Order: sequence, then structure tokens, then C-alpha cells
Amino acid sequence: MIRLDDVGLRYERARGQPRDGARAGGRGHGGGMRDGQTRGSPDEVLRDIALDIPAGAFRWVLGPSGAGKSSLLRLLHLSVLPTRGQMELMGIPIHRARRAVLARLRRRIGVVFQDLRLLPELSAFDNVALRLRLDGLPEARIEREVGEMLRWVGLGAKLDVRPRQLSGGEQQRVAIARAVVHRPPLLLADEPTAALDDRQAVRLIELFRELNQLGSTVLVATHNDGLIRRFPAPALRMDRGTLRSDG
Amino acid sequence: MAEAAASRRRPRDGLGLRRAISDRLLPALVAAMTFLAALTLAGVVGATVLATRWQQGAATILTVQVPRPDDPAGPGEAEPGAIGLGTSANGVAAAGSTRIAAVTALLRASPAVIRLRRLENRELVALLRPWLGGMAESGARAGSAGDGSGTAASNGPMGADRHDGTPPAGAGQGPAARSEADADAAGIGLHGTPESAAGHGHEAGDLTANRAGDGEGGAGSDPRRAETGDTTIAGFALPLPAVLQLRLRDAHTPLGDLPRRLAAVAPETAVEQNGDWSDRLLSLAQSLQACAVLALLVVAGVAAAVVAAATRAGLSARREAIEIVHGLGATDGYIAGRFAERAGVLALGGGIAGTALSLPPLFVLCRLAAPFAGGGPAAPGVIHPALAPADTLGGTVAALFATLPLALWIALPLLPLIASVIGWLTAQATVRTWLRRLP
Repeated sequence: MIRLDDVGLRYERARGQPRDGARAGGRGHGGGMRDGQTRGSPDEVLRDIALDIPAGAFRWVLGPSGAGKSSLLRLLHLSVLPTRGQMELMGIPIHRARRAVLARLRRRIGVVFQDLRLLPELSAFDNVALRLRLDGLPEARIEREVGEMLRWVGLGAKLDVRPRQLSGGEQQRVAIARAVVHRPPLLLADEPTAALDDRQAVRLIELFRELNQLGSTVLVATHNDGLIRRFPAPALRMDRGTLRSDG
Repeated sequence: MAEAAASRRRPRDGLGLRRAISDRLLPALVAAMTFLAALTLAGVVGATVLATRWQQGAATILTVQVPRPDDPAGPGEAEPGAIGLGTSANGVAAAGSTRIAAVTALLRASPAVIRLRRLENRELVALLRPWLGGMAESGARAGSAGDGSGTAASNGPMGADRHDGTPPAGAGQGPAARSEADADAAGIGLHGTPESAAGHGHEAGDLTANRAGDGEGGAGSDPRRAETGDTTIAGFALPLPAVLQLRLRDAHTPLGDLPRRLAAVAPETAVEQNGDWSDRLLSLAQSLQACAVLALLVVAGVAAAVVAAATRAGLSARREAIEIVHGLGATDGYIAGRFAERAGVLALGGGIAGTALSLPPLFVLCRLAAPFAGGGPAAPGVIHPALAPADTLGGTVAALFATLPLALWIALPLLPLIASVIGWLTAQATVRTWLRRLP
């Protein structure tokens, strides 16, 4: 499902922008996996990542703040592309894939961003439905599945409410609903329980495990030791941009 | 609640295109561009109409002026087979006939001439009227025997001395330029150009003015003048030439040695082909067409730049939303298509508005250009027949419709569509280029 070989990631800085405000590297910025980036460059936020995760696996992604957990998940979501090394996702070599193929891959990935990334002009329903609309599903089916998903996360009464009218936890549940509504083969979650109470957090991880048992590959970055103990699974341990252990 | 459900059923993509591309500024700018394009298009169509008309009309007309038409003809040329325009009637009618008869016979024998007509007296008078006013008419009444021999536009009055000996105003200007009657008349008008007038300066010698009543042969008192039909001006006798108007089979038929052959039977006969002059006018019209097409391209380019700027502004305003939708798996084609759809619709609206706004000035312009394109003038005091009171609404609409050339009626509706296509294509290209910065 996921194979990384000697992958490095460096965020390109916009002209005149300080290092901390760097933008994600992308093809349009002159990034690329064969750009002669010095191995182990201090500019890299991810260095020498080698990883092989089979389909249907469940992995915790652990590590202190700044270790590179979010960058790894962004890389796996194709929000950024590796600046060196080889990466293969769902059997497709990323460095050779056309843009349309990358877009198709992204549609097969469910993701919960740390910053949620909800569209403020859209209602909770439309935010979740957007994912299915991009897949071209009929509206009747979208209505049914999105309604069911939002009711499951406890927002059945707030389908038409916009994100800014929801609490932080409710917004996070909308983001979660959007990530799983299309039952993705690959599910990435970056601190998905940060704004949830313990009961909601447990319910959420149970949902992820259920999806995992149905065949989805799931990677969850978290600091919640309680959840890790309650749902034991192999972990990817990150430290200062490198992968310390796999499983 | 029902409203919310209904709102939910309306698919939304979160790109916020209503905010991204204003529905006021872009249509207004495109409307302005379309307005300019419509006026330019009218210029293209007008130049095309004029070019076609000049090419098909005046260029095939040849004018032959025969001084002293009723004098005895010369002997003609002896050698056969050397007559211009393929004439095979060498020397026909040369012996024992008048100069005009000999020239006419020579021309009629030419296969290149498909029509030959001698201008009537009243036509000559009409041509002279702008220069000589009522004098021409009264002179014609007084001195003409009515056989129609007279002057032409090009050589007409400008070479004639006035009775006080001062040169006439407007010398060298062909009065027939004002003729609108038909294509033949237009041909005469072209004949009356400064250049052609200059080319007939010799006619001044023919047009000797004799003071009437001075005992030296005013037309009214000169039986010989009356018999020969020379046109006279009131108080003067002007032995004006006969004018023959020929329609050639082809605009570029070479004259060959026709002038020489004609001069042999009627010395000092002048032949003038309008092809050269009409070619120049045609070149002018084609240059105008090229300029207008260039202007259209510039307008289209400016419109594209306007759409590109509006789209880029929209992309900047909606950058975050676009990145989110892109991250959810939207393809470049999907995002570009949504922007292009919005830009295309707005450009279409602007195009329709601009085209509609261009119609009133186009009606007026076409009205002003009508005399040059073969149309007739409106009734006195009426700006345009279409604007005159009509009996019925249908009549008014029909009159308005007839104002613009058919080509313009066909081209104008295409402008909004072209504006829409430009908007669509420009937005597609702009968004796709912008999206390249995303992975």
C-alpha cells in the first residue's frame, strides 16, 4: 500500500520568507524527487524515510511535536511531494504519475488534517458531501450517505450549520465524517481526537478500527497515550524528521 | 427547515466562484470590449462591401470621349488584326461617316465590350449641374439639338473658360463623383477623379466658350451648333465631346492599341479605363479591412487579458478553498472548468450587453455610409427611414433590419459567443497554469 525508499522532504521557502513560514514543496516550485538534494540536508523536514506498510494495516504515528508526524502524513496524502527518494502509493510510483493520476489517488485517501480545513461557506452537510460529489455520485445517494455519516458523529441536527457556528469538537467531527464518508482504502488522521472528549475519541478510534477491518489502511498520529494503550497497534516513531522505528 | 433542505440539495463545490469573479466588473469590461468589436466589425463589413462594389462595378467600366463627334471620321488604320480589345473590325465605318459613328462601330466590334452606351444629354447636364448650376440646363435647352452629345464628368466644365476668363472653381473635380444612380453612373464618377481630370487637360482646348449674342456664334444663334447637337451653356456654345460608356467583360481587360485605333478614326479621342483607379480603391479598402481585423484581434487580446486578470484575482481570493478542494482530489480540469464556466457565462452576458449597445450607433453609421454602398438617402429631415414614423410596428422592425448589411446581422450575434469562448478559454488556461504550483 505504502512504500517509501530513502525519501526526503524539504519545504521550499517563498522568496524573502523565513524558514518557519516555508511553503510545501511541489512540482511547480522546482521540487522533485531527483533534484540532487543533498542527502540528509538540514533543510529537510523528513530525511531518509524508508517505509513499507501493507494494505489493511493499522499504524499509530508517534513522536514529539516537530518530529515530522504531520509532514509524513502530508507526504502520504500527496499534499506535498518528496524532494528525493522513491515513493509508491497504492501501487503507483508517484514520481512518474501524471497530475490527473495524483488527483485520482487523493480521492482514494481519507484525511483528517490537524487544522481541519473545512470550507467556511459550506454547511456541514456540503463539506462532507463535497468528497462524494467529486466522485460524481448521484445526489440521492449523497443525501443518504452524508446524512447517515453526520448522524453517526452526532451532528444529525446540524446538517445545515456552517463550520464557524460549530464548536471545535463539532468541526472536528465534520472533518472526520468527510474523511471516512467514502470508505477510503487509505485513511490518514493527524491528531483526530485533539478536540474530542474521551468518549468521542474512543468512538472515533473504534470507527477507524472498523474501517481497518473492512480493508482500509489506517495511520493515526496522536499524543493520546490512553488511546494507544486501549487500541494497541504497531507504531511509526518519528524523531527530528527521521523514522526511528517501523512497528 | 424546508429552505435549508432545498439549499442542501443544490450541489455546491465550495470554490465560492460568486465571490471569486465579480458579476459586475467582468461583464462591464467585456461589454465595453464587445462594443468596440462591434464597431470594428462594422468597419470590416463596410470595407468589404465597398471593395466588392468597386471591384464589381467601376473596374469594368471604360469611358471613351470623342471630341467633335459629328465631324467626318478619319481614314482609320490599314493593317488588319492589330486592334485593341480583340477588335476585328479594323477600319470599319471609318470612311464616309462621323467620328462618333466610327468610334462606336469600332467598339461594338470588340468581343471584350459587353455593353456600350452613349450618355444622353440630360445625363451630361446633370453631371455639369454641380459646377455650372442652372446655366448648364438652360444652355442645353438653348443649344442642344437633343442628340445627346455633350461632356463627361472628367473633362466637362473644368477645362472650360468662363465668360469672364477666370478659371472655374473646383477645376479637376469630377462631378460624377456625386452620382449615385447606378453602377454605370458610379463608373462615371470614378472617371471624374482629379487624376482623370488632369489627364484630360487637352479638352480645355476643345471647350472654347463663345459669348452668346456677341455675333460670333452662340449656340442659340449658330445653326451649325444646333445641328451637330453640341451642348451649350446659356449664353455660350461649348463644343463638348460625346461620351461613350463601355462595360467590359473583365475588369482587367488590357486596352492594347485601342487608343491608337480610335485616334486613327477620331483623333484626340480619349480612352480611360477605371481599372487602375478602382484597383487603388480596392487596395485602400483591403488595407482598411486588414486594419479592422487587426483592431479586432487587439480587442480580443484585451478582452482575454481582462478575463485573465479577473480570474487571477479570483484565484488569489479563493486560494485556500481551491487548495482544500484540490487536496480532496479535484482535478485541474474540474477546478479550471468551474472557473471557466463562470467566466464564460459572465463574458456571454457582457457580450450580449455590448452588442446590444452597439446597435444604435451602427444604425447611424450604416445610414451615413449608405450612399457609398449603393443605398439611397433618407427623406429630407429624416435621420433614417427606420427612424421615420412607420405605419406598423412590423414596418419599423423591417426598416431597422434593412439598415444593417446582412453580413453584419450574421456577424453581430457571434460576438457574444466569441466573447464567451474567449472568457472560457482564458479562464481555463489561467487556472490550469496557476494550479501547476500545487502538487
